[in-house]
Amino acid sequence: MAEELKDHVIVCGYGLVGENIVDTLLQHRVKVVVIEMDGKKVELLKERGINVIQGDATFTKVLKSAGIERARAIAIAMDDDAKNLFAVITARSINSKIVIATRANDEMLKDKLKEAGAGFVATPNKSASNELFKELTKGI
Amino acid sequence: MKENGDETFNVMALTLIIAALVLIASAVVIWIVTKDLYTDAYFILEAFFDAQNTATSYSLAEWAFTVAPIQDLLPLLAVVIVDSLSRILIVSFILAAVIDLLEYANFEEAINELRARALRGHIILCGYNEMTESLIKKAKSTKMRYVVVNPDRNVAQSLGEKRIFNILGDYSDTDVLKKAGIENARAVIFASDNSMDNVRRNVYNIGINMAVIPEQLAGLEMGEFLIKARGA
Repeated sequence: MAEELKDHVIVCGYGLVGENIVDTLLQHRVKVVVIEMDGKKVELLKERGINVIQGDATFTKVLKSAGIERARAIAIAMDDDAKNLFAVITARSINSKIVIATRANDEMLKDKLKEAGAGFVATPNKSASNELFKELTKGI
Repeated sequence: MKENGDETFNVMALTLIIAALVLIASAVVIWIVTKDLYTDAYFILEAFFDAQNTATSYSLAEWAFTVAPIQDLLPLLAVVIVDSLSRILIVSFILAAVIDLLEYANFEEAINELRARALRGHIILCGYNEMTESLIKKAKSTKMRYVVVNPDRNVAQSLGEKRIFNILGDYSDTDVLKKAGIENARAVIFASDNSMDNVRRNVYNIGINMAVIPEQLAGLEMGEFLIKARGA
């Protein structure tokens, strides 16, 4: 199925971050392929009718089987910062034009991930703090 | 005569001051060195003191004062010195225990709790992590009042050193949230996965309702970025 896709978005990791990315993309009718290691989540995604590949997104072979050469963008949203960094480097080395969004738990890694080729780096704690502060300062 | 009396008084006062200083210094040294095991060390010393005290009082001293010639009093002198040192150490141990108790009482915590109760329109940050750290920076820059509630004593100590206003306690406990002045708080923010349900329950009970899931927000931000990038 993924072999036939073009201009799609690959989402690596289907945790809370990945789930929200997939939901947002599906709302906009974007074609999505998810790469996930957990068998239970893979089954769940299949039940939902979402393209899914079981495997480690840091592996070239797995990224290629998700059609990275033809993909428009990739969202790397695994829990592990080191894995995310590795996946960014691998993705960029395969497709120099692909748009890469990733997450960093440690804000210190944000610059490193951008240097490695990520166009956008989300830091969950920073996002939450910004959102909360916006809410807290409403009307002040 | 009067001058002699004054001189004696001065010598006594000086001796007492020196003795007090020696005691306090010994107590502090003992407290630092044997902070975690001073109880055991104290009982060992006390046993030693009792043993040599008995020897001094009932046998050696009696023998020394009644029978021995003056040159044989040197062993007695040694015993007296050991005896005095033991007494100094015993009192020092007691003072060290008092210092320990004062530390245990932790007046800073009590003062922080009083300060927190007096706050109005503040934010309560439950737990300490990167998110709360980021919020504290923002709060400080805008002079927004805040208090961090955290259950870990070591973290509390580190927060105190960073001059971050905090109280120690489990934030899933209603009493602890009340200590943080929840009745007068503008918002409660819980930043930890632990006890999240309990906290939510407490927060809802008191009537404040605000919760953010960092991963969810990050996912939405990434999704929005990808949608925009795709359209570009």
